[in-house]
Amino acid sequence: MAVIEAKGLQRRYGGAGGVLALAGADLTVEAGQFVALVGTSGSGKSTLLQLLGCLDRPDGGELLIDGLEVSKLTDEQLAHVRNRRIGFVFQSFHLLPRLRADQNVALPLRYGGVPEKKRLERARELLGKVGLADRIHHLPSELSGGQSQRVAVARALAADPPLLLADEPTGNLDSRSGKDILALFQELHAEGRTIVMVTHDPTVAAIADRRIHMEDGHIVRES
Amino acid sequence: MKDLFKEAVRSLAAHSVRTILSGLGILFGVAAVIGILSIGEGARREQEALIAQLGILNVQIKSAELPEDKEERQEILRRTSGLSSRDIRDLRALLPDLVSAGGLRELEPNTVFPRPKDKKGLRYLGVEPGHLAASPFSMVSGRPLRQVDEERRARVVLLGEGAARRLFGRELAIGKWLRLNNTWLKVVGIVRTGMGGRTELDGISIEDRSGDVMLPLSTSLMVQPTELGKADLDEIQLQFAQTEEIPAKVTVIARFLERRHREQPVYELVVPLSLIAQSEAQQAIFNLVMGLIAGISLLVGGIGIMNIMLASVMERTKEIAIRLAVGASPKDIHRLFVMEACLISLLGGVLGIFAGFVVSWVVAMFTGWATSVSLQAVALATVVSTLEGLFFGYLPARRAAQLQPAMAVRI
Repeated sequence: MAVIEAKGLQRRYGGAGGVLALAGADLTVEAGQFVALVGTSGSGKSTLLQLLGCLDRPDGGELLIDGLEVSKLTDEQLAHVRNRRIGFVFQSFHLLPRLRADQNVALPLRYGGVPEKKRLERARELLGKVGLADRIHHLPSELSGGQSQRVAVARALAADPPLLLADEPTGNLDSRSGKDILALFQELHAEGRTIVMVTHDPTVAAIADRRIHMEDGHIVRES
Repeated sequence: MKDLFKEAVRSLAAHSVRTILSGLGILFGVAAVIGILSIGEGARREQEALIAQLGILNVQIKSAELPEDKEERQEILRRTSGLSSRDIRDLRALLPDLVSAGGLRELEPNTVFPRPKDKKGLRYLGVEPGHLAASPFSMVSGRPLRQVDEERRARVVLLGEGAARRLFGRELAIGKWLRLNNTWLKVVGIVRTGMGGRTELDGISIEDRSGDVMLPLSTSLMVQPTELGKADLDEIQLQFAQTEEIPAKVTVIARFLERRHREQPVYELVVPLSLIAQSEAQQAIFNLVMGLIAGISLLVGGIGIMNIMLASVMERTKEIAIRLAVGASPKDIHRLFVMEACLISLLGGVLGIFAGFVVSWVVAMFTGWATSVSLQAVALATVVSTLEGLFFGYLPARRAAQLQPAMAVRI
């Protein structure tokens, strides 16, 4: 079953005369696949990822996430999709600085209506899974970059979404931590999770099942 | 709701100084509201007490202190001998619809037997039934002084509760005998006065009449004749049927007294009704000023909160985008900011309630006005500050909720 089905996805910035950042992308990702989006900056790969992550809306085309047409949903409904069906990992972690590691991980569950005790339990479990069992009560400022990103991955997994998206997850890390994070993604892939990752690093792209190459808002080839 | 509350508290606590400062406007506004209401409430109670004590339907004419200077005094006494029974007779003729009218004179007996335990507060008064009728007394036991007592110079006496206690202790006073100078008087009744030991209300001195020892005016002249150069009566009390007629009648009385006493300052006219009107006018001015302060503070305070919240939305764009990205809906974001605005405003409100207590206490100290902070005032202040948070938090919250989650990627 396809987790992502995109047809002719378009995104234009700055009104009718603006830049066409994504000029009609077709992409189907089956469950369990690990896909890398590669291309230079400005190629449209981040724009596509934002649309797949329901952080933004397409100006044209169709997009089905986990079988649900999302391009016509209201903001409230879209929030629900982000909450339940998508886990997003950002380049610069994006943890809330005043929340402890477990509270950060539990954040999606808070908006999913899970009671506090239950969601912190789940957060601890996930932090254990990403190897941070001893950092549960630390604030983001007390964590290294690699640790922060692992907290972010745990957060993306909190609601057990069918789709995991990552935007240059190793971009802000030293090579050692970067390798750890990639190993974590490989592990998740091995568990059967569907992953779409934006990267411009060929060694990162090499671990994916599929590499989608983008240029000037078009998908140009796949390898 | 609990999550929302915790989140709001957490982010407000992170900027505690800012939070307190932005609640300051509300603090002043609420303090002013509490002040107004407590002073208003105090004034209302005072007026009730005043009415109970002096009687809203009464008008009193009191003998004034004569000047110290001997020549000045003689000059006055040559023209008038002060308040007398003749004044009452003529006033009755002038004002046929008076409910009652009567005089009172104060005695200073040289000897009193049994000797009172404590002389303070005891007053010895010769009163006419017409005066007594208009005084706000209630009988505890026995009977009042009657017209026959007056006509026959009956040797009877009526005691206030305090006087009875001081003269006869715990024993039943009724039927006992009391000697003033050389006259024996039989206790025929005990009365209770309108209110307890208070002697001043709203700057108006009110005698504590619990210590009154009252005998018929005619009898009092036997106990102690009027001193030379002193007025026959110390006070005349008139009672009317309705408050509406009092202002017009007071003019008539004033004109009569002026003519009768040849414009000499030997009396003063006390009209409880106009005292109350006067204090109400003072209150109104005070309320207007405080109301303005309250209104402006609440408005400025609200705008201050809105301002801080707008700045906070700008500053927290990243946080908002992250929350949206993990699945917070615009509604969730909206609620968070409204909650924060309400908490700031409520904090200001609570501190304002305390400040209001202080304000009303200070006002009471300096003006002598009675104040009373009511539960309703506290409830009103709480409601007002919550509403203010809801109202002024709306715009910043809407702005926050309109942010797009895609911001998260770009930051």
